[in-house]
Amino acid sequence: MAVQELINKNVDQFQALFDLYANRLNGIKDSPYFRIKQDAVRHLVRKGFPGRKNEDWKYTNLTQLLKTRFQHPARQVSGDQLSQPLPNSVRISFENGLLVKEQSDLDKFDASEVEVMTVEDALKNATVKDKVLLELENMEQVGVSAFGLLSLAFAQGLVIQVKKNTRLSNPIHITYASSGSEKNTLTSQLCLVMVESGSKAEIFQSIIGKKDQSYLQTIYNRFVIAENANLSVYKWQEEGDQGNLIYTTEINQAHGSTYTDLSLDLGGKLVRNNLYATHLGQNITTNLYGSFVLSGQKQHLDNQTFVDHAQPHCQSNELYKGIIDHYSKAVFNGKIIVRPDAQKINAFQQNAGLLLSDHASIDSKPQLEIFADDVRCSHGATIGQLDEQALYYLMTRGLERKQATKMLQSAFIQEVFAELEEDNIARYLQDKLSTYL
Amino acid sequence: MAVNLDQKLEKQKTIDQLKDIEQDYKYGFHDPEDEYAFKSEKGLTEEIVRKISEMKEEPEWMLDFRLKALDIFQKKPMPTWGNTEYLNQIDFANIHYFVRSSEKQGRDWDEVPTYIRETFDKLGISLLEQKRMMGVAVDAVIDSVSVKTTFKKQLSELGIIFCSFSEAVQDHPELIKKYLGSVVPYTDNFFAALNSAVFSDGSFCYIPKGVKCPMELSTYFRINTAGTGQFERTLIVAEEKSTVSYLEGCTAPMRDENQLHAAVVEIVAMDDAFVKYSTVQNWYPGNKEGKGGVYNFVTKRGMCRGVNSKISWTQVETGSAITWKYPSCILKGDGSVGEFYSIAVTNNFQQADTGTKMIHIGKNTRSTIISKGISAGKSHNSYRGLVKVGKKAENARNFSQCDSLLMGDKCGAHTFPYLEIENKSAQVEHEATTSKIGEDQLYYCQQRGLSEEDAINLIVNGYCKEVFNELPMEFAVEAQKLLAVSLEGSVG
Repeated sequence: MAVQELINKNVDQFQALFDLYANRLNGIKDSPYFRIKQDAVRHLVRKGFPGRKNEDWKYTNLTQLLKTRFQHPARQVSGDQLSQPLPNSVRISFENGLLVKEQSDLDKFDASEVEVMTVEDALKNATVKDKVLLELENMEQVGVSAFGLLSLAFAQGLVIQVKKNTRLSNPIHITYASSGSEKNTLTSQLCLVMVESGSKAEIFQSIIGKKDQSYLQTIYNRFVIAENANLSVYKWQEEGDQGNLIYTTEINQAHGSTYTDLSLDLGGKLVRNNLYATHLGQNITTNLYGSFVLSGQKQHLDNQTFVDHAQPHCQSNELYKGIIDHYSKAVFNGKIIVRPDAQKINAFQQNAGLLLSDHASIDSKPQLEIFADDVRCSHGATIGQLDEQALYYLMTRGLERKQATKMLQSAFIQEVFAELEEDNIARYLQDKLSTYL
Repeated sequence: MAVNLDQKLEKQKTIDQLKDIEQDYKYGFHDPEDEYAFKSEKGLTEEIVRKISEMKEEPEWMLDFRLKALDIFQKKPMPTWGNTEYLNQIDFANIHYFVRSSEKQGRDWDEVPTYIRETFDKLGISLLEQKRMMGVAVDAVIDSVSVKTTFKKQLSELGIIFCSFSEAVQDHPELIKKYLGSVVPYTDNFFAALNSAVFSDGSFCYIPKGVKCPMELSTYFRINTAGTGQFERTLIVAEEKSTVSYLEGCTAPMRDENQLHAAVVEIVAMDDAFVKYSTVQNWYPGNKEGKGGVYNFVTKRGMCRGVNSKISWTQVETGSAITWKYPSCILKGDGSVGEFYSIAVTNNFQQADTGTKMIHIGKNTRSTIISKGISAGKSHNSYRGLVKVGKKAENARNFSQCDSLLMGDKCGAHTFPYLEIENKSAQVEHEATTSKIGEDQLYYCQQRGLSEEDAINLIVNGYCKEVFNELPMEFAVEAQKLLAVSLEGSVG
């Protein structure tokens, strides 16, 4: 109880941080965005952070993180190239929460296909203004989590709008990087993507942290996918060993749309991924795929997915696989709800974990709540280690144990990448993965 | 006490009602209540607990145990998982915590009061006689007071102790003292604390070293009096290399108000011992509008204390308005085995929240979980289970399978499995499916000349077969019939 009180007391620091932040914001104090930010911070201070009694946070303890006194990162950005660019992609780069124009290809976007701008600019743009404002207000009011509110309050924010019946030929590569040498910095990102009807887009997010310094990064995505549109989002993160990342994605899908999410988590001290998919129409497909390698000394990764089947004739697929070593811990909590009268649903979920050390652990909680009868839902979970026989087989073929292990581990994870359509992205992720095995 | 005319009429009415509702719930009668020798005031106070203990002429340590438990009960908050809106309706002050049906446990069948014998007859316990023929020893518990134990003599020749809990407290205090609360301490949870404070009777069973119990042991539970709670306690101790199979059955009369049942079952298995515990739970589930029915909150736990010991739980849950029940195994001994086979059927407004906990502590421990849920009407059926593999549980192995079958579009089926694995050598598999009966399967059966109802029965029986196979013969037959009655008319 005392700990919870301390944390809740510590929430007040965000009001002080916000006042500091507000002083730096020139010229937007009259904007509705500023009002929403003010509300978000107030809302956060009132609401506080979830404790361990909260079932969704049962296996992830925030006490240590929330005891921290946070500060803003330095304003300057290094301007260096922060991540290896994805071939044939259009770049957008953020450093310490701010858009770095020099590292972004904003001029390469064709405004008749896609609009990319900061939230501030979007609110000045007559065509998107109303929609963006509506979504921001929704976020503040619904405010899925305390961390979503943090993003809303402190992020500069990015808006991407894909125009009707457009098929973007190149993926959009967004990089979120933290740099500098200060301790306990708080960086927040907000990304609103609206895909209009009949369009198709791919977004690739790279998250890169600074080494040896503790910090918290909150990323809040909101994806609004209109009728028959198709959005794929790929994410890989390589946070520093003292880095904390709370990554939240809210997906609203309309009739006939498809959303695919694929993540590769490699770094971080405490990483939490929240994915919430809500179906607003029929014939919707949601695919959530995740992979991770926790090879650090003591990492904590929590994957949380929630698919809300509120409408009939939809399907969802989930596949999560990961490797856990040393003192690290992985958590999977996959929730699927099929609401009353949402008939003809197919929902599949699978998660598998490979434990490499005596101190590694995994907590898995697949969860089905079904209120309709004409459905096919299933989930499976397996936890184990590499098959000794498979290892032996490879070794009889002349491979060293180390090589054989690596090969099997790589194959284990790559089952997830097999779901990728885009070769470039698969190759990029495989490169990243191989350095961690 | 003279039975006046009104009561006779009342009784006749009950029997008539019974005939009408035979199909719905055939155990829905109740006996005249004023023949009870003692009925405590409503509500739970220290005074009541002292009174229970005094009436049962219990030793000091037993009273101590009860009072400590009462203290914990009063401090603990009501649990909040599951659907709590119903729970808040339970008025713990409005329950008779102790009812005694007759002065003494009947030593001989002829000594048992006539109306109790009638109860048994209505229950089909000539059950008792039938089982005597079949060689099953029965301990019958009405309103948590043990009324009859059969076959005691034959069992005692083998050194097996099978008697009511109160007798055990008097005759074998050293065993009770040693094992009571050793698996489910009174601090364990809200309902275990309640039970520990007020439990009135139950069964005690002790199988000595190397003995294989030659017959099935059985307890039969029944709630009779209105506004009472049933709080019984079962304790089974299996010494080294012993084997026992234990059956439990339950029914309750039909009442408009909800009745509370909070039992505790503890099992201790030593080296190489094997305990099989089977339950057919058929408490009154409430009527079609969801009125009445038993709230069934049971704590069942087995401790595999010895090397290579084994505890196997099998349950068929068809009754109760709300069930919360998680028969668990603590696999402490190296090489110990835990099993859980369950069928839970819910219809109308029933809610069943059941599952198991398999706690792997020793090396080379294994557990199997097979859970089959069937929901119909407007009912909800949940599987809630935990598989935990501790740091030192090398080579632990678990397989879990939870399937749910939905009949009708107003019901729900939910799965909440928790897997907590802390050892790399563990191998854990979990799978769950939810679906309805396949149209093609139905079509196939009907095409072969079966009616829709029969086809469904056939398919459901096949679906549950894995669990039925685990039940002792006489229970398996009863369970299949129960299943058919519970689901009658639920498909259309």
